[in-house]
Parts: sequence; structure tokens; C-alpha cells
Amino acid sequence: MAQIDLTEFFPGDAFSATEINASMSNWVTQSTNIDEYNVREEGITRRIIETGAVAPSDMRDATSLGGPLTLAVSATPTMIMNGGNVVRLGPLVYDESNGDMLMIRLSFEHTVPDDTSGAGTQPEFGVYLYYGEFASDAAADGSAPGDWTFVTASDRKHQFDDYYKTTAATNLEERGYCTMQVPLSVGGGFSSSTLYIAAFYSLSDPGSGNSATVDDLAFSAMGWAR
Amino acid sequence: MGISLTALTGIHSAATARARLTTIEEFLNGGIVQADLATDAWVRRQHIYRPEVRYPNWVRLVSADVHWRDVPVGRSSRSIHHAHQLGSAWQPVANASATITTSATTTVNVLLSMYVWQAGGVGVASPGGDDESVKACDVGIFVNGTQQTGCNRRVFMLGTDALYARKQVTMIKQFSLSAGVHDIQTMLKLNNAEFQPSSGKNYKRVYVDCRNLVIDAQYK
Repeated sequence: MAQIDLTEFFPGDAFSATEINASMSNWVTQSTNIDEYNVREEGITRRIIETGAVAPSDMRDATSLGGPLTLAVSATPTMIMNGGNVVRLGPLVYDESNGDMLMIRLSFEHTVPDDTSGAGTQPEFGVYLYYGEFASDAAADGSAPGDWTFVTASDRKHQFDDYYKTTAATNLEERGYCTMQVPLSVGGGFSSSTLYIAAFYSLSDPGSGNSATVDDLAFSAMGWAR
Repeated sequence: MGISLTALTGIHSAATARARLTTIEEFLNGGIVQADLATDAWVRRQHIYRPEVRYPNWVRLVSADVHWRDVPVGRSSRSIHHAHQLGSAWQPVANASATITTSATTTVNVLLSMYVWQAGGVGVASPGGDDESVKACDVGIFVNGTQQTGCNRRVFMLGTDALYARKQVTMIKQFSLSAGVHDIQTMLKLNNAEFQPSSGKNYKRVYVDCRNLVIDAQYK
């Protein structure tokens, strides 16, 4: 890295090709090594770059199957999980290029309104993120075939208390909020050009007739090409 | 593709000097190609940074902007919401809103995180004891005056023995905003019926302590 150096000569000096050669040699060297010493920073910042000339990063949104940009539910309707059943939310669909890095965002409020199963039972509410690549899935919704892969560190759980069941058998409502922002990246890229992202909810050991409720949910994903 | 000049020796004509100057001229006038650039990572942000100042405090970066509001914990920083003064209408949480300007359709991720709790009264006398069954307030994210789907959190009254209704309230929501000015607000609505003295309860106010609002705008 260097600036072009002009070997100076002045009126009255003995003039020879030596000085010119020195300058030109320097110019030749630097002409194949143009760097910050040759580019005037303030010249290309606020004055001369046309709007839109600098391309932003290749950012893309995921879309939900047949739905809007993001999956979202409001307080009505709610998403209700009966005990023992796993509920899948999504999937979101992402058009993958090559080794994209994704950011998955999930946010909701959850409630277990009642626990009448008796002392000693502590229902556990959990949510997990998974991704899948279903190149051969005709339905293109991750329904079959294909395996879902767990997104690292995306499990969130809420184990509900049963302390008061011994004194009050009904209406033990407990609430919780869950928000997570989880990166997803696979070295070398995903195997399929279409990537599915889903959230799975479960309610373990719920007792008879229990259910969990998810309200005000937002689920989205976006990614950037490397 | 760079300049190639053989060193001069002996006596040359003006035409030779002119040809060399022409070589340099052509190089500078559009002859520089990708291979002429140094291969180390010398292009830094200031080389491509093109600010577009629309408002005194707003600068659009090339590919993304982040706007944020941070309020630390402390009594002097609290946003206090009194039912008898403000009723049950949506009201803004202090220092938890921002206005952004987008020059094109933009994907915006909004993250809200706050410590919200009700105080000023005694515990809830509900059938289950100290459960979370009596709502103190709603908290929501609004864009241009409209609450957004999936952006509501309920905060509940404290129990007589348990304080687990004191919680961190969090939300993340992604929006697609058109070009223009957008107000992104954190709003709070008290469950007024439960705050009125006539209800026989003494829940007087909701506190919002430390809070963060992060608005991440990604340009396409």
C-alpha cells in the first residue's frame, strides 16, 4: 500500500530520464495495488454516490404458507393445546440461496388456566424451534416426508407450580411471556433451496382436561446471504 | 489492467512522452479494473457510507438502521400510570417510543422489553388464592396509532403472598412498512374497573421500570 510518489524535478535542474523513470516505475507498481491511499474517502462519501448505487445486503423475508409476511395471532382466536398433544405453528418458508444466516423470532404470551389433576403434578409447557428441508415433499408444508431438525438452544419451558393445589383445587392460573431471537446457520449451506421453519408447542403431564393457551403470538424469520 | 511502462533510456521524442501520458490518462479515465484493486480488506465503512439526513437526528445507513430507547432502572426513570388520573384509555409509556423514516418498503423488527408491575393495593382475593387471574393492564406495540396483531401482553395483579405477577414483559414483532414516517409506540392500558375505589380494591397504579425498545430496520 502506498501513494503514487512523483520524483520531483524543478526548473534549472539537469533533466534526464532518471527522474521520469522513477516516477513512472512507482505509478506502474501502484496501478495494480489501488487501495485506500489512492481513493479519496471524503470524495466518495456524501457527494458523489448516486442513490441506490451501493447495493444493500441481500436480505430476504420468510413467508408463511399461504399467509402474510409473518404468522401472528391476536388474543382472539387463541391457540389452545390440549394435554399430550403437540401443536405445530407454521411452517415459515424461506427461499435459501447458499449458506444463508437466518434470524428466527418468536414471541407470545401463554397461560395454564387450571390444574385439577391433583397434588404432585406439575404441567410443563414448552416451545421448540425446528427447521426442515423437504425437497421431496409434494405438499411443500413439511407434512411428509422429512425430518425436522432442532434449532440449537431454542427450547423454552415453563413448569407450572402446584403448591396451591393442596388448598385451592381450581382456577390456578399462571401466565408467562416468551420471547426469543435465535440464529440459524448451517455451514456450507442447507441442502435444499427451500427451508421450512416451525415452532412446536407441547404440554406435558397436564392432568385431566387441562390445556395451555397461547395468545398474542408473533413468529417471523429473515435471512441474509453470505 | 494496470500500467505497463518500460523505463526510458537515451534520447526520445516528444511523441514517446505523449504516448506515456496517454497510457496514464486512459488508465485513470476508466481503465481501472477489479484486478487492479488491492486484495486485502481495505474498503472500510467510510468508503461506502452515504448518509441521507432527513431529520436532524436521523441518518439512513446503506443497508440497515437501528433505533433504540433505553431507560435504566430507578425511581426517577419510572413511567407511572395512575388509574384515577388517566382512566382506561391507551396511554404512552414514557421514553419507549420512536419515530423512524423509511425511504422504501422496509422490513422492521421491533423488540420491546420492560419490567412492569402493579402496586398500591393489597393482594387479590380470587377463588384460587394467589393466582394470576385479575388483569392490571395491557401493554401493546402500536404503529402509527394502531395496535399490531400479536403485540399485546397482559400484566396481572400481585397476590397477597406471591409476587410472581412481577415479570419481564417482552415482545418481538416483524413489520413491513411502506416508505414514509412511522411512529412506533409502546402503549399501556389500565384495567380501570379493577382500579376504581368503588370496586372495593385498592390497586392504584402500574409502574414501568427499566425498558428497552429496539427498532431494527432492514433495507432491501
